[in-house]
Amino acid sequence: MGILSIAAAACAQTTVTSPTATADIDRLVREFSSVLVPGGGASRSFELTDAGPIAVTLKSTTPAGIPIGVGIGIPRSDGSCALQASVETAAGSAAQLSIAADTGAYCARVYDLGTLASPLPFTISISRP
Amino acid sequence: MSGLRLMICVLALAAGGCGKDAGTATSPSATSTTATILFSGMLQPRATRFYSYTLSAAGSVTAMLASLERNGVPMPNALELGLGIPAGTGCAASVAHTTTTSLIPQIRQDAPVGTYCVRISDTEGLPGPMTFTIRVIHP
Repeated sequence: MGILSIAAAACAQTTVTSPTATADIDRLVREFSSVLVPGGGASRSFELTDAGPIAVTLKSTTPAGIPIGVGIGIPRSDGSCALQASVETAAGSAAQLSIAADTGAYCARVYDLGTLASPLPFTISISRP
Repeated sequence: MSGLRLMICVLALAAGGCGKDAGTATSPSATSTTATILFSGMLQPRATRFYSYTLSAAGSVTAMLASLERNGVPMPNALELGLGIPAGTGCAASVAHTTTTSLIPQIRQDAPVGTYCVRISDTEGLPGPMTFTIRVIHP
């Protein structure tokens, strides 16, 4: 009993601090490049396992400065992308469209606004949780 | 910590004197299986469409009006989205919200096993027919 009392007193002097767990959801950023034909569109699907914002950046077109449509939505069963929101924009460094989303399957789409006279190479990046 | 204290503490731990439990084992959360249903169609002005589905397990059902488009362009119009039970030739909604599109479910409802329906209605007068897409997730 005496030994246990000494031990209890000794252990009471010791403080152990567990590191505080912090949530750190990494953003996943993916780029894809393709060519947009006049009157056409291109989409890319992805899955969110954590809720959070989806941001799409039209990073470049060749030539630069050509506005096209950029949208975010959900993939239909036929593979097309049903858009929830879209913008008409030229390429830039900042995300042109950012939308809060729950977990699940989503898609990003770019499309001709009806103004392309020739195929347009482009690059977009999709940032999400 | 001094060497003597460390030795005493080790002895006490062996005797259970420090009162620290051995750790709490937590069972991993069971991951429930969910089903995702997509409903897409054309909604005429002032019209209603509904779709039925079956729950084989009780749980939470979410409905998301994800998209409303006209000629491929997203539209800002609000529609009434509802969850309910098939009744006659329609869907009697037990919960309904007038909402624009979102990628976050607008309706979340707990339901027992049974047959249910999701309903979409134009109550405000669309300027023309539009294509909608609804996502329902259920147990």
